[in-house]
Amino acid sequence: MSTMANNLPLISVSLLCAWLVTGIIFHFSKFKTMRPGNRFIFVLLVFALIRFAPVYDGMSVAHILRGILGDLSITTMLLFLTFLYSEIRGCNSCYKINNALWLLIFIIGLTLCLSVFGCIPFDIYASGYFPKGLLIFYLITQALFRQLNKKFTIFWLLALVGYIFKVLPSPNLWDYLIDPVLWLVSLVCLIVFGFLKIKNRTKFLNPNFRFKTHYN
Amino acid sequence: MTNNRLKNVGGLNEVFVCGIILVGSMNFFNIDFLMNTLKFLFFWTLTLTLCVIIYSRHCPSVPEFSLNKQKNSLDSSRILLETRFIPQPDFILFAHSPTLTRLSNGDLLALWFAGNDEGKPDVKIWQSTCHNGAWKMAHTVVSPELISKETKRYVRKVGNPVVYKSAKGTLHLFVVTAIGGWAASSLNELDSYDEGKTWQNTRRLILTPFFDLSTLCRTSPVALNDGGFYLPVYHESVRDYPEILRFDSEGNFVQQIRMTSHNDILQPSIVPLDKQKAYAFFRNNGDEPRTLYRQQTNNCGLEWGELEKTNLNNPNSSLVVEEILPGKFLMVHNPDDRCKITLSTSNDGLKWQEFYTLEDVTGESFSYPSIYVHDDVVDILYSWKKQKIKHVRFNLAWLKSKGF
Repeated sequence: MSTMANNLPLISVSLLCAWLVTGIIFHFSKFKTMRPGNRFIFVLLVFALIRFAPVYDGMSVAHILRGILGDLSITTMLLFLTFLYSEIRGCNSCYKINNALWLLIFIIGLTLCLSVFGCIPFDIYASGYFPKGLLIFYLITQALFRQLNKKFTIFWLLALVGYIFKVLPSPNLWDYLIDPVLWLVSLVCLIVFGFLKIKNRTKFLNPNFRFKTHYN
Repeated sequence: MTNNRLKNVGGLNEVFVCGIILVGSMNFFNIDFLMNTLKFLFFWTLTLTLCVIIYSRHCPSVPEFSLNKQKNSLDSSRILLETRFIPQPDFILFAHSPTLTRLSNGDLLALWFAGNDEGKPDVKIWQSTCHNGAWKMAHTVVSPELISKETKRYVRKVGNPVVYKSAKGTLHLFVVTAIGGWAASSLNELDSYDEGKTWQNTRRLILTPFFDLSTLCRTSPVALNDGGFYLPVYHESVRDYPEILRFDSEGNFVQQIRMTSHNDILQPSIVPLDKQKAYAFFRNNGDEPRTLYRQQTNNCGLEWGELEKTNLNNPNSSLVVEEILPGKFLMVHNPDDRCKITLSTSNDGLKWQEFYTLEDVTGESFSYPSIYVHDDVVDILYSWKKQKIKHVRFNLAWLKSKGF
C-alpha cells in the first residue's frame, strides 16, 4: 500500500476534527475577532496536534478516530477542507450547500447502508469494484450536482481522479465518492433544515406573531 | 541574430493581434456565455475522459476453482489416529478458533487467538508448527498494538485468524480486529514470505461503506486457477449473511461477492467439486430449529443458488467440510450442542450420517474446527473447552475402518 494511501485518510480525519474543534473555538470565544492570518496559524496548530500528538498508547487523535470512523472519502476531505477555509476566512457563508444536494447525498448514503445491512437483496456496494455500471450512475449524479452546486461537482470529479490513482487503500469507487460521515452530515443538515422550517411555520401560524419592522 | 530577434518580435505581434481579435470576438458574442460554454465543455470532456479510463481498465479473468489437490485413494493399509494438544504457556486461560496450513517442508502451521478471555485486549494471535508429529511451544505473532501501529488506526482486540498458502508459496494471514464488539469488526491481511517466521505488509481490507465495520472471517480459503483465491467471510451486523472475497495471485483484494442476503447465515465452508461447481455449508445463527444449509454455485462462486436444507441441524456453531474422495464429503461439526463434536459423512452434501464422535462431555465446549487434507492424511484442529487447541490426525485407512 502506498504511503499516500495510508496517510491521506489520516489527513482527512484530522481535517474533520480540526474543523469541529476550531469551529467551536471560533464561534464561542474571543477568537471570533481573530484575523485570518492568525486563524490560519491556529488551525494549522490544531491540525498538527490532532495528526501527530500521541494521546493514547503512542497513537494520535487521528489514529484513534480513523479506527472508529474508517477512511473518509475524497469528497468529504475536500468538503471539510473548504469548510475549514471558510472558517479561516471568517465567513460562514463562503461555501454553502443547498438542501437538494444534501438530500441527494443522503439518499445515496441511505441506499448503500440498507444494502450493506442486507435490507436490500442485492449488493450495491459491490458495483464499485469494477465500476462500469456505476459510471453511468456517476455521470447522472454529476449532471444533477452541476444543477445544484458547481463546486461540489469538482469534488465529485476529483474523487474520480483519486480512484484512478488509488490514493486511498480501498479498491472500491464508492469509498472515494461517499462515506458515512458525509452521509450523517447530510442527515444532520436535513434535520436542522426541517426543524427550522417547522419552527418558522409554527411561529407564523401563531396569532400573536407580528412581523418585526426595522427602521434605520 | 538581429533577424531572429526581428522575427520573434514579429511573432509576438501576431499573437498580440490574435489576442485582440479573440477578445473582440468574445465581446461580440458575450464573454460570459463563451466562458461558461468553455467551462462546460472542459468539465464534461474531463469527466468523460476519466470515465473512459476507468471503463477501459482490466477486469479480472473469469474465475475457475483450482483442483490441484490430489484425489486420494484408499490404498494406505496402516491405520493412523493420533490426538495431541498444542503446547502453550501456562498463563493462557483461553484459546479459540484455530486455523492451519501445510508448509513447503511438510510441517503444519497453526494459528489461533488466545489470552485471558475472548475479546480482552491481552488476546493475541498465537502460532505453532508441527514437525514430525510434534508441536513446538506456541508464541505470539500478532497483537492489537502491532496492527494499530502497522495500519495506522486504533484497534482494541484481535480474533479469528485464517491462514492460507498461495500458489506462489506466500502465506496470507487474515485477522479480525475490532474496536468494540465483534459486530464492529474489520479484516486485516498480513503476508509472510518466510514460511510464517515473520509477518509483514499488514493492511486493512476496506469491505463495507459503513465505517468499514462488521466483516469477519473464520473458514479456510479455496484456491483459484489463476493463482488467486476466495476467502469466505460473513457480515455480522443488523443482518448476518455470507460473502466471498476474491484475491489475486499476489494476495491483493479484488472483489466482494455476496452469497445470499438470507439472514442468520454465516461462516461459509466452501468445497469445490470441479472448476465451476462448488458447495457451501453454513453456521446458522437463527431461531430454533436451526437447519444446516447447503448452497451451490455453477459458475465458480460468482452466483449462488437457493439455500437447501440438509438433514442436520446446526447449533449456531462453526463447521468445516472437505471432499475426501470424489463424491465423498467429510464434515467436522457440533450436531446438537457445542459439548459434542463429531465427524459426519455424505455423498451429496444433503444427507449426512454421523460416524465418529471426537468429544462428548456435557457442559463443555469443543468447537471451531479447522481441517487440512494432504496425501492420505486428514488433520483437524479444534478449540478444546476454549482452553487449548487439540490436534486430531487420522488417515484414510482409519476412515475406511470406520465405514467411510
